[in-house]
Amino acid sequence: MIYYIAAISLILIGIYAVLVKKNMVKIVLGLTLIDSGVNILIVSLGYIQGKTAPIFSNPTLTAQDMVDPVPQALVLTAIVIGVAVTALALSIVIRIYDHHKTLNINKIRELKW
Amino acid sequence: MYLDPVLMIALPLFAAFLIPPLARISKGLVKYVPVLIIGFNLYEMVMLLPHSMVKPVIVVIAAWAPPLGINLTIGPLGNILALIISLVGFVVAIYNIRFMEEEPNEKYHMLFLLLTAGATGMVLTGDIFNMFVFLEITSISSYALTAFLRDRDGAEAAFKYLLIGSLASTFILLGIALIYATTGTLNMAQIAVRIKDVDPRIAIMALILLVTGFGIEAEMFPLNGWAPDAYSQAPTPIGAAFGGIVVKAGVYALARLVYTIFDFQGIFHFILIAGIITLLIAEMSAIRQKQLKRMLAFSSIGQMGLVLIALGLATTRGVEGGLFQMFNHAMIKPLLFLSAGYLVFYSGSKNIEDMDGMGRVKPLLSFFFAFGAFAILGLPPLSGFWSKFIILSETIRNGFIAIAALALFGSIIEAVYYLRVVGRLYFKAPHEGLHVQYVPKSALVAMGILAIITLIAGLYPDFVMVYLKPAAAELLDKTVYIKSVLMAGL
Amino acid sequence: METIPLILSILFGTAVASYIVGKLNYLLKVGTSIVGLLWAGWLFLGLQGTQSLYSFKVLGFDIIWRMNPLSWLFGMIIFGLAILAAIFSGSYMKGKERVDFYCFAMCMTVASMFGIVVSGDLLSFFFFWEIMTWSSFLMVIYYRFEAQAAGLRYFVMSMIGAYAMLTALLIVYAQLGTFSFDALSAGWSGFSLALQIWLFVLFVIGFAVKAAMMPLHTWAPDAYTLSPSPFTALFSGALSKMGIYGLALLFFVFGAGKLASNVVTIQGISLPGYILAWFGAITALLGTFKAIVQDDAKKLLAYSSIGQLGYIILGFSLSTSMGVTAGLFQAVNHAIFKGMLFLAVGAVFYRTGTRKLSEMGGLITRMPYTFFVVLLGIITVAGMPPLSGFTGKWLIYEALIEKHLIFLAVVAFGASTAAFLYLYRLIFTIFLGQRPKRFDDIKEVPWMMRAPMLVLALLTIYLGFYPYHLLDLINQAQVSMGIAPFDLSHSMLFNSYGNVDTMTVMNIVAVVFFIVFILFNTLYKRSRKVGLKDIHTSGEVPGEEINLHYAVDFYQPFARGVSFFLKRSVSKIYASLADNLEGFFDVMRYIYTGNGQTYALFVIVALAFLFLVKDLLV
Repeated sequence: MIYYIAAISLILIGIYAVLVKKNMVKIVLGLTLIDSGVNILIVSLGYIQGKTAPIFSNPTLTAQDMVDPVPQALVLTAIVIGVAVTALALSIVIRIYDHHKTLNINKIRELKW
Repeated sequence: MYLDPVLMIALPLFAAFLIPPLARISKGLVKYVPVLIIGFNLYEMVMLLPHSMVKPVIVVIAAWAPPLGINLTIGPLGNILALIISLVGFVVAIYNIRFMEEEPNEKYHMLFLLLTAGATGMVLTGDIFNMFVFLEITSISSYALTAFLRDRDGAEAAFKYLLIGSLASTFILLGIALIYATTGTLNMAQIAVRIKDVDPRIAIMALILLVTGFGIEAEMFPLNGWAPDAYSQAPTPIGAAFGGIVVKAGVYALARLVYTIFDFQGIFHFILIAGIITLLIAEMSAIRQKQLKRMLAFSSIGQMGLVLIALGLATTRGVEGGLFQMFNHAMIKPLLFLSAGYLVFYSGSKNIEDMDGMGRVKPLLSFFFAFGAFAILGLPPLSGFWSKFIILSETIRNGFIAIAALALFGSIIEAVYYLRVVGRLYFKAPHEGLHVQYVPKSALVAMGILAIITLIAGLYPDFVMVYLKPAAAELLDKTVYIKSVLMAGL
Repeated sequence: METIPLILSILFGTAVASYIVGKLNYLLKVGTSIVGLLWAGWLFLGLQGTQSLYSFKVLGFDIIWRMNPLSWLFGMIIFGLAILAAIFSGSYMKGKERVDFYCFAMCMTVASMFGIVVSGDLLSFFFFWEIMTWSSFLMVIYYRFEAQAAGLRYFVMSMIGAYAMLTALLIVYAQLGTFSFDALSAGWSGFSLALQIWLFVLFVIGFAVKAAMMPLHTWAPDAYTLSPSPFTALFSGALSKMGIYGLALLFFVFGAGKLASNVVTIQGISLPGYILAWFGAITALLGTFKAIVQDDAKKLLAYSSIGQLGYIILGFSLSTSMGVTAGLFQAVNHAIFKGMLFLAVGAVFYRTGTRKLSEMGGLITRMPYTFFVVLLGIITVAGMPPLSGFTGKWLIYEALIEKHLIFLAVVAFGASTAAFLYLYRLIFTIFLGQRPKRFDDIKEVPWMMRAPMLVLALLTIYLGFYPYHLLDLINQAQVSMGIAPFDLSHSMLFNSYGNVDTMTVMNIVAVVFFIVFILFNTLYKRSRKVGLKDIHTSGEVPGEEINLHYAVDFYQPFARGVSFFLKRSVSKIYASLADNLEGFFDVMRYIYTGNGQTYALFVIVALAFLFLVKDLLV
């Protein structure tokens, strides 16, 4: 349960950052936070209290004793994607800073209407 | 004879990452790689067509039979959309041969290949998480391509696109997590079977998250703030690819969700209403745009609104019309973007005002633009007419006369702004000092292919419709899809 | 190959071929279009009286092309004018730019018009209707950028009309599941009254735009004026008739005429018909008034055209045998005389380079053939014997009086009388009076332009003497529409008040004409010849350089008199409406604020909204 709460609060904090913060780096951080929150959420979905990793390391283990491995695979993929997006986002922010000399998102609205 | 369909995704991915080393050997060779690879995809899709029309082609990967492993499910719908994507990709790749000559062009071609591969993967895969991954591949390469020109506005547009796109992927991921938590599977066919037993309150939440996420890709109204900027600031061929490839994949995902996976009827009304709002707002926004490409972007959103209306009707003919409209839009909007690209290039300005008299200077280019404008307005005998006609007839047949009337109103607005541009192209004196250059043959060939397809589809619409009918049937009757996927393992 | 698809393919093929071949050589492109049109026209002639039918399926919709006497009648107008206009253009367009484009759009228009008249179902009707709209739009914007605004207005109004029609025909499809005319005429009476009225209104809007009925006429003056003259002849003569053809279909084929039995009738005609009749009458009156105050020759004719179409609508909306005969007769007639007048004005423009009436004058000695054509034209328009216009107007008045529609008759008569004013203005200011010096050495137009005008002129004379040749065809058309044929035998026209023998009328007129002609040339030969510039004002002789032109402010008192009436122009209302709408649209795009965060907010709000209404989505 605690994982769910943590995950959802992370997501909400991230959304708050994305919607309210004016600094673009902070917005990117917010996106990363949302990402992490979602990842934690997915991992905790697969986690079952008192179960072990889905590896037949011990001959007495049966499938009932294991946690669900699929969410972990998903999260691994999602983390990679998240990293890629963050890297790209930051490089775009750098590019924007080069051109505009500001990180305030309110001042970067040349494309409008 | 077709080769293993997995190659359609593997080959572009492989080739994409092969491009940078290849560029070290020969810079000139790189630009032909996308043409070749996407040409192969196109060949595959055409060859697969007769097979998938009869019965979905299920490709089992690494012996993991469907409910377990990731599989490719090439039904009529997936095949048609992959065909559209490959066709647009192929044409744009031809156009690219001479368009991108400066800059680090190998990266451009690499990203373009990735984009096409991702979109193809999205429409072919049978696994919802896999779809998400391909969506991300498409999106990330789109962000990068939007910022590719390294100018002030490109970066800004890319950031907005990235911001909204990340939110989309978050929602999609959350939706997938919810689905997985409740059904315990990621295979779309199996989800469709098991979703009936899921508490509808949770299922609807998953649906909302997924619809919002894919709605962003499909340019649904309040979610499409990124689109005009990204379309207009990306390099022109990429604008064409957004309209012809990325959005089509997004709409496919949306359709797959609401038709195959979930079983809610109310969502169709939402899509219908979202469609008409999208259409109207986009057309209204387009009418006084100063920049040509931005105007095209809004028009593109408007066309997607029409597609959403068709999908929201949830009748066989409506979906057929919607798919036809998607096909037409995938042919016509790239045509407009590609011709606009050179118009912008030669006039040296993005503004519509500076396009004056291009019809005298560049007759063929302007002809293609005018042709595209006429086609997208739905003037017979070009193909846009039929799709609009079917969609409207179906809207009225279902009793939504007001929606049809509003859509027609939108069409009138569309006519005004397109014809203003066409009028400027042909009937105003050209500006002094236009540096007239020669349009590369490859670009003309690319536009010519699209124009010919538009004309043929207009004169003989059944030619396209034959293939769209099974695709529409696949959406409306999910049992066939489910059965053929789940039986594949046995 | 079946004849109808063959003709259509020839016409569309000609359009494309003349565009492609046209890149090579001037003679080729004009030649191609003339040959194509002649070939198609020849095949078309063979279709008279046949019940040719051709049908196939597109996208599961049945497409039916058929020929019947009504279609044949309108087809004849189209081909007659198209061929003559094409021959005329052969000389007129020489040396102009974009002739290939011109030929393309012209042949395309002709092809689509023919498509409209052979359509046996609403889908192909609409299909060709749209082709006609865009191809004629290409013609309106042919000349310059200045024509853009007018062209756009034409296109938008046409779109509004076409979409009104589209809505109507899709409703029909939703009700009946088919687009065919036959099913519609069978099924119309099964619709609820409200639906019938809706369909009627939507269809009328669709057709009235093309027929330039008030208050949907505002595109017409500019579009007619700005399109190339040979095309204007076709535009006003044939294309606007498609609106009339549509009305004929609506009333007698679709079965909207049956509304009469359901709704209130006024003096024996159904309420919708009665209202439409008033629209027609007012159109006739206003068109005429507007025409009188114009100084642009083509604009004058354009308004006159609007007025004449008002008459035709008036005739049709009565739905009586005589009314329809009158409408159809006047439709053919209008095609002929408006064709020749537009061609003649085009010929004058070709030589003088101006359309301003006040700049011309005294061209009678320079362009006698053209003068002759215009003279015959205005006699016909005015409805004076001995030419064909007489019969047309006569029939309309009779049809009105037969129904005791005295007010309408008065309005129609008033409009007709007022028409003399602009007709006189037209012929006087161009051909009579003083000739400006710069026009002293212009010549008559070449034979290639003279011939089409003269053919049309001879046709009016012919129809003036033998109206029953045309009336026979009209009767066949009426029978096919299910209306009692009009009673006639040779030159005798029968009706409830008595008979008219057109032959007698014509003979009397001819005799009187010759007597007067001879009298003038023998008894009153003592007239003094004066030079053109031999005039005095207040005892002073104005010099050569002061050209006292009569035509400047020609009908100033009249214009002043009706100015209150014309000041409130519908087009201004439309323009301000369009401006306001566009301004409103413009506000909408401020939703796209340009701030990425706002867009993100939109997304979150949309998500929250969906969660709020999630019960509705189930």
